[in-house]
Amino acid sequence: MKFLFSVLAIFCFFSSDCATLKIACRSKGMELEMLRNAIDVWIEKTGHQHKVEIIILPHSSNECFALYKQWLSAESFDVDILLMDVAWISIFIRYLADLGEYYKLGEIGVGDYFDAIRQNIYSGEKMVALPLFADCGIIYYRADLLKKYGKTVPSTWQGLYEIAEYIQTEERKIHERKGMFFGYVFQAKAFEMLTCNVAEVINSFGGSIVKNRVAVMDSEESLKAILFLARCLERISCRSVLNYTEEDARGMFQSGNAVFMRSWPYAWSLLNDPSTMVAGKVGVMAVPSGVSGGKSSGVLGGWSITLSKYSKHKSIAADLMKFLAGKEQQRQRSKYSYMPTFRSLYQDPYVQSNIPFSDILYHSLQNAVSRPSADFAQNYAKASAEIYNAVNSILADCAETGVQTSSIKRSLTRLNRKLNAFLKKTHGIKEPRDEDGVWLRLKKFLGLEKDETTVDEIKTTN
Amino acid sequence: MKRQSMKSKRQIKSSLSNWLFLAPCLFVLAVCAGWPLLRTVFFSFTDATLENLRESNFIGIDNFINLARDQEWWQAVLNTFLIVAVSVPLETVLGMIVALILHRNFRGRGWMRAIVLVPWVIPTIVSARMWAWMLNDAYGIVNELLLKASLINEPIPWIASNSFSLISIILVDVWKTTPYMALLLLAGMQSLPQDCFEAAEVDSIPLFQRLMKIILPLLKPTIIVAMIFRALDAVRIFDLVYVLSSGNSANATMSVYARKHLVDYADVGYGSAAATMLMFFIVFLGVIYAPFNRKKLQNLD
Repeated sequence: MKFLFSVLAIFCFFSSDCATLKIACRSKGMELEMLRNAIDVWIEKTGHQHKVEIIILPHSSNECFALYKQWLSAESFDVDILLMDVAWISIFIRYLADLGEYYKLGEIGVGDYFDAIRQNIYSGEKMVALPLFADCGIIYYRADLLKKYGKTVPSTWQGLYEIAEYIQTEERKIHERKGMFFGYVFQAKAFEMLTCNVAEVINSFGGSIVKNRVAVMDSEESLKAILFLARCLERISCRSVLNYTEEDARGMFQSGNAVFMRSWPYAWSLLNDPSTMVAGKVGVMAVPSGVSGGKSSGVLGGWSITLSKYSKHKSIAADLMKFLAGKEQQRQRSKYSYMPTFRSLYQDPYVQSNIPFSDILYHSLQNAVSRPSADFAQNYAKASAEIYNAVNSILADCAETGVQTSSIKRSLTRLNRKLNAFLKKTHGIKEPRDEDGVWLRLKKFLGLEKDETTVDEIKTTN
Repeated sequence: MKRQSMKSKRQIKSSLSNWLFLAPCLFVLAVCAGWPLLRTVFFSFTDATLENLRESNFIGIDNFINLARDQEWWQAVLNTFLIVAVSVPLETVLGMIVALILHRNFRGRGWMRAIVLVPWVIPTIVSARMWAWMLNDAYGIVNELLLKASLINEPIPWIASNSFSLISIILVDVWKTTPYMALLLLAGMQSLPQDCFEAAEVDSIPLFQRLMKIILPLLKPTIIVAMIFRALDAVRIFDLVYVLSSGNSANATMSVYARKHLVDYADVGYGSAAATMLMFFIVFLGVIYAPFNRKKLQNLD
C-alpha cells in the first residue's frame, strides 16, 4: 500500500496536470464547510485529476495575518491559494501573482463588482485577488423585543442607545439571570475587529480616520464617535465586550442576552438555526448614522482569494480560484448568508430568498467605508494595532472609572500623532529629528552655524 | 557524605568520557538553542523585518534605546514582575500545604499524588482556554455560580477588564503551578531524615511548631531552589496572558510584547531586542540568586 502511494506521488510529481493544491481557509461560521463542498464539485468537474488540501487557519484574523507574513516572507510554496481580508491585499501585494495572466477581466465580470470591492483587488494594472464574498457591518436586533416594548427600528446611534437602555432596564426585571441582559454588544477586543467598529462609528458621525493622507482621529467627529462607544460600555454593553470577537458577541446575542448586536451577514443563518434561542426573532438593519439624516456607513469587510507568487501550480490554482469566486458559487453561498460581490446577483430570486435583507446590504455595500489600509500600505498592521490598542484602553478605562472626556481627548491626540508618524513613513516624508534640532541650536548658539533665515533675508533685501 | 566525595573523585578521572557522553546532547543544544539565541541577539542590533531578513543593516543599539523609551515596554516589565512577585510566593505556600498533606500516610495516597498533578500536566494553552470559558461573563460557570449565590449583581468581566485580567492570570497560574511546587517540595521532604519527624511525633509536638522548627529549616534549600525555578519560569509567562486578556498593552508581559513586535508587526530587529532584554532579565535573576543560594546551602551544611 505504501509502495502504491509513493508510486502515485512520484507519478504526480512528474506529470504536470496532476497537482495537489493547498488552500488556506478559516473555520469561522460555515466557511470551511462551504469551501469543502465547492472544492468537491470542482474536483468532480475536472475529473479527479487534482487533489486539494485545506489548511485550516487560526480563528483570529490577527493570527492569520501573522501566519501569512511568515509563510510569504519565507517564500514558502506550502500554500497556493490564500484567503485574505480585503484590507490585507495592499500589504501582501508583492507576494501575490498577477491573475491577469490567467484570465481576461471580462471573463470574471469585474465590472459587476461593487466599486469599493473592485478598488481593492487591483494594484496598478495588476489584478491580484478574486473576491469570494462581500461583507459589510450590519446591526442585528431582536424584533420580538422591539415589538413587545412598542419600539421602531432606530435610524441614529442615539435612538439605538435609548431603545437599548430602555429594554435593558425592563428586561432585567424579568430576565432569569438578572444582571445578564444587555442592550448592545459589539467587538472591542484589541484586534482588527475593533478597528472595523471604530472606522464604522466614526464614519457614521461624519468623520474618518484618515483624510487626505493626514490622520484626523483628534477631530470633533472622532471624539463624538469614541465618546458614544464609551457611553455604550458604561451603560448598555457588558464590560466583557472588551474581550469579544465576532463569535463571542454572537454567543451572547444568540443565547438571548442582548437587544442589538453589530456583526457581519454571516451570522444570519447561524442565528436562525432552530437550536438557538433567537431563531426567527431577529431583524437586520444598516449601521445607524451619528446625526439624524446623516449617512449610514457599514465598514467594508469581505474576503478574497489570492494566489501566492511562490505557488508551483499557478494555472491550475487560478482555475480553481475562478471556479470558487464565480457567479454560480457565490449564488450558492448565499444559502449560508455569505454575500455575493456581483451587483447583479442581488436581483436574483434565490439570493433574495436566502437573504431577506439583501436590499439593506446592497445599499450598505454601495457606500461602504474602507479601512485606511491603502493609506498606511505596508504599515497598516501597525497603524491598526495602534488604533485598536488605544481605543481598547480608552474603553477599558471608561468601564472602570466612568467616561472622562478630557482624558479621552488626550488619548486620541496621542494616537493621532502616532498615526501621522506612520503616514509620513509610508509616504516617504522624513520627520525632522529632534537631536538635529538640539545640535543646530547649540551650533547657532556657539556661532558655528549661520542662521539660514537671516542669510535668506539679507539676500532678498539686496 | 563519603559516598559523594568518592563519586566526585571518580568523576574527575572519567571527565573525558563524560564529555564524550555529553557531546551529542551539547551538539543538539547548540543547534536548537544556541544558534537561535545567537541569531536573536544578532538581529537585535539590526533593522531587520520579516521581508528583508537578508538585507538588514546594522544599526547599533538604536533598538534598545527605543525600547527604553517605550512606555509600553516598561508596562510589560512591570506586569511581568508583578505576576512573578504575587504568584510565586502564593504557589510556594499552597504547594507547601499540599506537600504536607501528601507527606502523611493515608489510604489512597498514591492515587492522590497522581491526581494532584493533573492541572500541571494539561498543556497551558488548553487550560488557559478552559479557564477563559469558565471565566466568560456571559456563559461562564464562575459568574453563574456567583450570581446564583447572590454574591454579585452583575457579571464580573474576569478576562475583559484590565484589572481583573491580571487577577485572573495570577489565579490560573497559581492553579496550574501549585502541583508542580507541591511535587518539588514533597520530593524534598521525602529525602529529609525521617527520624526527626518520628521523634517529633513521639514527643507529640504541635503541628505548627513541628512545621516551623523542623520541616521548614530542613527544607529551606529545596524551597529556595523550587522558588528560583518557578521565578525564572514565570518571567517568561506567555500563553496565559495571551488567552486571558483582551490583548491591549495594559496587560502585556515581556514575552507578549516581544511576540507582538516580532510576529504581528514583523519587526524582527526590534522584537529581537525585546526578546534579548527578556533573556537578560532571566540571566540577571539567575545570577543574583545563584550565590545567595550557594551561601544558604553552605550555611546549612
